[in-house]
Amino acid sequence: MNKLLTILLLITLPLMAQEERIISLSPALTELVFKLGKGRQLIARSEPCDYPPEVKKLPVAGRFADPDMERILTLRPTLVITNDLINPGVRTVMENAKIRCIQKQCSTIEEYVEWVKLLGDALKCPEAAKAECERVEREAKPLPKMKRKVLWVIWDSPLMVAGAGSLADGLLQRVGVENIAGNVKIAYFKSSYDWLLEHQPDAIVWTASKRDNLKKHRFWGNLKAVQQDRVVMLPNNDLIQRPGPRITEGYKLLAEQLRKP
Amino acid sequence: MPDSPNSTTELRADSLSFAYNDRPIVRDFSLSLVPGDLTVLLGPNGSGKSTILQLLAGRLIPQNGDVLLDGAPLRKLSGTQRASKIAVVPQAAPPVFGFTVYERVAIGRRARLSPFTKFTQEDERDIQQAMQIFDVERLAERACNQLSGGELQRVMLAAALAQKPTYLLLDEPTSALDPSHVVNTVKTLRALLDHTAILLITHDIELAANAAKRLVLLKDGAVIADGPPDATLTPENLTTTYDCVASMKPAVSFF
Amino acid sequence: MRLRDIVAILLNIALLVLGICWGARWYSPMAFIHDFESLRPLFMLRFQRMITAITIGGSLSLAGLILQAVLRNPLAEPFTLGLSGGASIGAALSFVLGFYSKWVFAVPLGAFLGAISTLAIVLWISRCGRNGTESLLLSGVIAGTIASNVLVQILSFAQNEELAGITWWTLGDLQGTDPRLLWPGVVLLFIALVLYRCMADKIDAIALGDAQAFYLGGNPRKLTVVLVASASFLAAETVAMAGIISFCGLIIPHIVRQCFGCIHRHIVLTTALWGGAFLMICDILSRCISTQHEIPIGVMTAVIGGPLFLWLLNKQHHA
Repeated sequence: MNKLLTILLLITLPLMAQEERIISLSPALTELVFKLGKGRQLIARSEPCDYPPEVKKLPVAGRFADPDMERILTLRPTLVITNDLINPGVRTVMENAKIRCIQKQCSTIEEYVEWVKLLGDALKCPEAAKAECERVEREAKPLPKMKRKVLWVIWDSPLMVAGAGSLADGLLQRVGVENIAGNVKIAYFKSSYDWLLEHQPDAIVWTASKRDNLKKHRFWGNLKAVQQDRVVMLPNNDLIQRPGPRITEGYKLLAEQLRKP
Repeated sequence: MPDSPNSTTELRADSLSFAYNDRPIVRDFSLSLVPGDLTVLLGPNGSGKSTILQLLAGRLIPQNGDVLLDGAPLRKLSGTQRASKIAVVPQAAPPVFGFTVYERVAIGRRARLSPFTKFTQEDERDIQQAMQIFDVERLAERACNQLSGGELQRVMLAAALAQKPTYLLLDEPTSALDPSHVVNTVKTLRALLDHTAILLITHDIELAANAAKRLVLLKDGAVIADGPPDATLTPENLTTTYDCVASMKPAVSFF
Repeated sequence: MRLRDIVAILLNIALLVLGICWGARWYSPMAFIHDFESLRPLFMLRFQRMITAITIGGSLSLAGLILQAVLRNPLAEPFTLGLSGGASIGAALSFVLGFYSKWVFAVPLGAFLGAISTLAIVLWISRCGRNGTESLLLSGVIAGTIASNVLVQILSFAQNEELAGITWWTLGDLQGTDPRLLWPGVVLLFIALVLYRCMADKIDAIALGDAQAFYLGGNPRKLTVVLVASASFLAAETVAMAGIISFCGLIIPHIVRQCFGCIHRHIVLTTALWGGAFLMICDILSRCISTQHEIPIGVMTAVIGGPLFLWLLNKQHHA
């Protein structure tokens, strides 16, 4: 009996100890895996994953939300994490190959926090996950509201802005300013010059391509926010556009810039 | 009518030869058309009839020989000069767009005019007359792409007439017409002859016999016989031309 | 000038005024007269947008009219000869290669060059229509198909942000048109109007077929090349101004022919005016239904134009 137990134990031990082999298809989730201290379990990444820098040494297993199934099958992962899939059919392929796939939206800070908990359980590191959740809530805690309307420009031709439900909207709320486009319940939508002339924002966050001489532009030059140099352009837009661990840094930079008297 | 007294009024083909990729279609063909002529080209499929018509209209350029319009080489004339003298009725193909019958006939007339001139009363009268002659006046507001084959042929004849040509080249213009319209068309064509020269291609031997003043039998691009219908339409000539035995039994005739 | 053209011009002016007054907030024409200085930025913005709509609507409808006549195909539209595919490739390349962020005109220029080179290739392959308009049409359709596949390949190199940019660009945008691109567009439309009016009789003739065009005194090959190239040039130039706006160039010529006949000397100006009016209506609705959240113009042209077109088609069959 004892012998049998020992044999069973010997067989199961390596199985239990076996670590997940992870492939991440999203830059934000890649950063999260490293944040949870499981970076060395990551065996491949998606093309846009570029942080932390060492991740670039890993093989590429697909584009954003678009896995290269052949690569994935040869890399033999046990877990694929992604926040979206362009072709949901590949899930079946992964199931047949006994690869676990976690697919869950990650486009706001709240969803990021949920992902932290989810991955904490999946990678068996609930403490690290709890610490990360607390850190985010602490470092990006909602600031008192102030009367300041902000426009978030994600693309300038055509003019696309961030509305309710976007990461940008959540960030602005936490920073305590009002998203001027927050009344529109669409994450990103085409807005109108005309409307903006009538409803001028107090400041602008610009994550579209850098433009010199906004002041001389036939439309932007008419906005008070542009005339008064209240246009925030960060050197690294990933900090405010990627719902990952560094979002707290972005939050800090935004708060500094947008809450300036 | 000649433009100036010393210029000739003649559409003349001088020993034309034409070949598609070394395959001769027309060999050494000569013809002269002056007002008053009604020449019929008769021959089996592929004998070069339509090619000759296109050579005479200037759409094809002969490899040998030349086409002269009133004494001047046709290929050196401008489009408007050409179109104000030669009108062509090609084999009918329904137009894609819904030009009305009136519009279609008027387009023929416009070929003579510059882009900004409006129709004079004379132009309008000629258009109406052309429609009347070919019995399409009552169709004036109908769209051309909704006509029957016969109606469309008459519209195209009317359009060519409205162009007021000196030389009228017709490629099987009666293939879809009923006998009464065929007879009517021949009458009309004959009535035009005092100031027009007509070249007619047809497969209808009876029509040829009754309409032609001169008849040219063609085979493989060469002339088999040329002359008045009585002299050319012999059983021997027809047998050579069509490679099948012909007899001259009288059949029912509308002429 | 015909009565209907005067009516169309008045309609255009009325829509222009409406488009200037109506927007995020309504200002009466009097308000603009009394207090022009303070309303100047708003006026310029709306005025320019309306002029863009007239120009692009007019150019596209005119290009559609001409191409339908030359290709003798009622389904032809300004981008038939693979132009939209070529333009998208040009635009996508300037996004993917990063020219987009360096120069404001990178995308318009890329789109324009893409469209024009597609046209050149199509004309070259079909030997300038020497093999007949069918081969021209077919070469165009095939070039368009190849171009869309190449586009997919280029998109596969694109990052998320660029991908979104390209997608948004293809929906068309009238407010972003740079005035430095608009005025040449206006001039070009006028040149095209004069050219097509002078060639109107020849366009009638070529609509009847190459043979008829020749017998009516035209040179069908020269006509085909001149008309196809100029109409496609007009279309390419609208792409540079505002991206790909579909439907306008397809349905307006049909509607005009349906109402006023097919004689081109009568309908060249009418088509341009109606095209302008149509796109202005679409634009006013696209920005005034919800003032803050614009409906892309391409969506609007399809939503308004589609049913209108089907209704007319139905009416024609019952008549």
